[in-house]
Amino acid sequence: MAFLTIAGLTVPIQAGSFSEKTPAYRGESVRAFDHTLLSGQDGRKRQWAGTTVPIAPADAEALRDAVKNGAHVACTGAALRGLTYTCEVTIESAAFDLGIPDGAGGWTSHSEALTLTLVEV
Amino acid sequence: MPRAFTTAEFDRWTSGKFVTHLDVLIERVSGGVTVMQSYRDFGGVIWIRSARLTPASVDTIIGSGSLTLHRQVGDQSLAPLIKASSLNQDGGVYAPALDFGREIEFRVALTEPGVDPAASDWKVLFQGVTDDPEWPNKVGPVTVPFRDRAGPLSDTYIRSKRTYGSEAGVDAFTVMQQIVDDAMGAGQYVLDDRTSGARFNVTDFPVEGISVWEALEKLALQWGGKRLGQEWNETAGEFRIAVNEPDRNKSLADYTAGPNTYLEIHQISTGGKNLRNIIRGTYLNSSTSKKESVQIPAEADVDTDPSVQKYGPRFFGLTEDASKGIDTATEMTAMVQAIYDDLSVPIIPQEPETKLCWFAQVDDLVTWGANALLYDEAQDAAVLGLTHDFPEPGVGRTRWRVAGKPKGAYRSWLQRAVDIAGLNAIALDDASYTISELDVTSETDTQVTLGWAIGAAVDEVWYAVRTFAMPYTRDYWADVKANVTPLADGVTTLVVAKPAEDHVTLVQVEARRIDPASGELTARVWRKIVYAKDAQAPVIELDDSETATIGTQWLRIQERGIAVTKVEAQTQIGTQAAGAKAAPTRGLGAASTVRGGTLATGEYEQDVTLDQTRFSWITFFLTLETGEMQVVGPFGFDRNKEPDLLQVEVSGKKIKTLADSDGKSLKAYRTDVASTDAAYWEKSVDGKSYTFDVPVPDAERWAVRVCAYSDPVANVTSSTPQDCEDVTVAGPTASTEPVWTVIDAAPPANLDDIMSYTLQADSAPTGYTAEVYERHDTGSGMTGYTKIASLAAPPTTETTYTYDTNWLRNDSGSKLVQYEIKAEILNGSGVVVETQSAQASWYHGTTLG
Repeated sequence: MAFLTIAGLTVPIQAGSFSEKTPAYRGESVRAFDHTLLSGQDGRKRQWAGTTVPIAPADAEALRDAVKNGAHVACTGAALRGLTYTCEVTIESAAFDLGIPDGAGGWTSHSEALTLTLVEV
Repeated sequence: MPRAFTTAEFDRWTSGKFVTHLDVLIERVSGGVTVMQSYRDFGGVIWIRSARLTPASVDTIIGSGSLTLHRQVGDQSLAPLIKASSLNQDGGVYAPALDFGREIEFRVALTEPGVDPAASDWKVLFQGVTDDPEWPNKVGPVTVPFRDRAGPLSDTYIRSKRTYGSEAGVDAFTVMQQIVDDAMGAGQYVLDDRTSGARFNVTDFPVEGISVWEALEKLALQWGGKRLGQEWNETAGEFRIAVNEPDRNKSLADYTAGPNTYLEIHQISTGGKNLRNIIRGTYLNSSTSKKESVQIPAEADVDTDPSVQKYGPRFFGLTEDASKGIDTATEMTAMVQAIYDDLSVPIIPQEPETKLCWFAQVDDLVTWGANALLYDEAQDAAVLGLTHDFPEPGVGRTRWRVAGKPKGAYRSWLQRAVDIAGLNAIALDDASYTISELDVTSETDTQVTLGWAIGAAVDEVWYAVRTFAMPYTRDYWADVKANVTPLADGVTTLVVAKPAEDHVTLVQVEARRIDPASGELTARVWRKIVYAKDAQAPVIELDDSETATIGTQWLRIQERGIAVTKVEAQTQIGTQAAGAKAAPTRGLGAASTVRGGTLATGEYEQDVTLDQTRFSWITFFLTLETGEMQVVGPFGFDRNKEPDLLQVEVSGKKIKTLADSDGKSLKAYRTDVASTDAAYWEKSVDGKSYTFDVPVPDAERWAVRVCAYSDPVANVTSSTPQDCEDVTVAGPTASTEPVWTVIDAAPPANLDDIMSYTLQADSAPTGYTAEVYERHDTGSGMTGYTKIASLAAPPTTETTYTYDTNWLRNDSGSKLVQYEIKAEILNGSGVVVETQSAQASWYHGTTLG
């Protein structure tokens, strides 16, 4: 089983970079004046974040295309304990490796490491 | 009385263990008929983001609020002018989902966590009519303001004179219903009569040129100060406009909220400041045509009045002119009695906050349980007003304004007083109590349009527009403040003409509110300065110096009418994140590193630690009194000692040149003739900034190279580090070779990565083409040029092109990117005959577009 698959695309993740964030809830749990906890939360939605290893621009574009416009996509893999979640994936940033000079004074970008956020729909 | 609730519903609220579900329904056309559309599920999407509403209360007689909706989800948009959105269509015909004047209804359900609401769980919390939806900004929600059903009554004017009543007298409530039926249509509004005291017969009540709501208010006032407002009708299952008379003697609390239910008590005080126990009303008697007075207690009874005995004499006087409708002793006596009842006992105002309480209503008498910290005995206090807040999904809060016993009015009594102290007290920061900062929504050469949003709890908006001769001084504001007048209800824009040259126009807009609990008049003031068309921006002069480890930028600001209110600087060392904006390193009175001596008024210096291999940067940010920010810089310091040309711009026969701090001298010289040729030309100057005046004769074109050197002119050798750039300079009516007459580069809009550049050539002979290149620096030095466009012919009209840079502009970002756009014109043989460049730079975050 791949460590992480998004919309059917295997997404290689940097070792140690994938983590689960504080879940989002509907409602609030708040303390009353006398400090009584008034529990009022439900609808837990899980959230994860991680960074890919440097991947080819074509692979990065394929992933961008799959998750663009807030698309709801299937996320699964060992990172999610083998469970499948419908997720909204946001590419928060990309680190470019500028790589090889192109001979015209510029550089050819040949890989990108994407930082992703996965939010359960 | 509160709305009907079951024991289970009350227990759930007091336990606080629930999730608040909100649904908002707004009238729209569907299938050719009017339906109430749920925004909890519209096209499969939950559109509701947040909401705040304030039902009608003791002193805010028209309930209002604001609903915030997502503007766009996928291809669906609620922006009313996006006609292609499926939400704005009905059977293929344009029918915007949102508009003004639509019925709106709020429903809430409180359920245990994890339990979806059943149909019986939903409670109608508010009913009203939408005002103008707003959907500004590229990225932003749709905001729908609304008022309760009294809103249309206050918007509808009685244009033709009508007279109500009869010689025998017609019951006031009957007259009220007649007025509403005549103006709004029979059956459109069913009023509720909740009065319990004496009736009031109307004999002669002419109305003309006032709103329906004002006519109802007049009658309510004559009827002994009855209260008007929208209230829930349990039997009808809807909200109706009611004429109410509070049970001022209520002593049995309707329900109890303990400290394990309320979250906080936001305000509490003894409230004696506004206690009044001698009330005198003066009116014009319609029978005698004389001014007469009514006083409670009568002078003879003042000394024995219980309130006077306990708290001392606290006088309150008011005058009602005949236009308000009080013109008999009976009417004034009823009004004075109502005021005495409402103001003669201290009210102990409180503002508790709880999780959402849907059943609470004005006049409910609530026992607020003791809490040991603020009061150690339970306090009974009546509800004067409520605000329901829904800041995020599942969360609902109610903020209560409570005090003393039920009242007919409170702050509106205080507003009538002609001799009451304690007004004009404080300013409030809560957005609902004020208006938003004034924005320039549009501007022309002759006028500026200012706009703002009004908080739900604002009672009135006042304004003043005054023009003065320059120079502007802050003393002018005293005159502005003395000339404020009220704006009509609901006005949110102001068109201000630009003043004549050498004049300035000052605009002040105030949000005013009288707190119903304390009676204090509070105001929040916003100001704007409008200048003449050619506003006098400050002049900036620059200089710099550097050591092996520190770069210093010197800045002198010379004001020319528009004051600079704040100067900040920001630095970035190499590729590190930029630092926070802060006051410059040195200012007035400090020793100048760059120029020696002492820094004078308007002079500043900023230091930056130099990265030893990359650029370090300094940028100044000047905040002008107009509220605008002027960015000066960024200025690069390059510790590799290699000079870099930051700017080479050809304009006519001039070359404007700017090098970085490593540039100690500049030189321009012809490259199209040998240095031994009689026509050879060159010019060298010390410094890093200079505008060369090239002596190119008319009808000739010179190829000129501009170089920056890291040594002064006297020390430049062939081994001196340099940076050069080639340009073409053409004399007027030069050869037939085309030249760029316009070249400009502009950064992307904030949160976008698409920059633009604009080109225009003076001609485009057959066979001539153009090519555009970019190079950029993100802190690691300039890249080489990359071709970004090939044009079949140079444009001969001003044409703007875009280029996706992949560097998202983020004005809150921390790193700088600089782009240079170089445009070339090539003849039919592919030889470059014209080259010019333009630059643009911006901050970016870490997100790629």
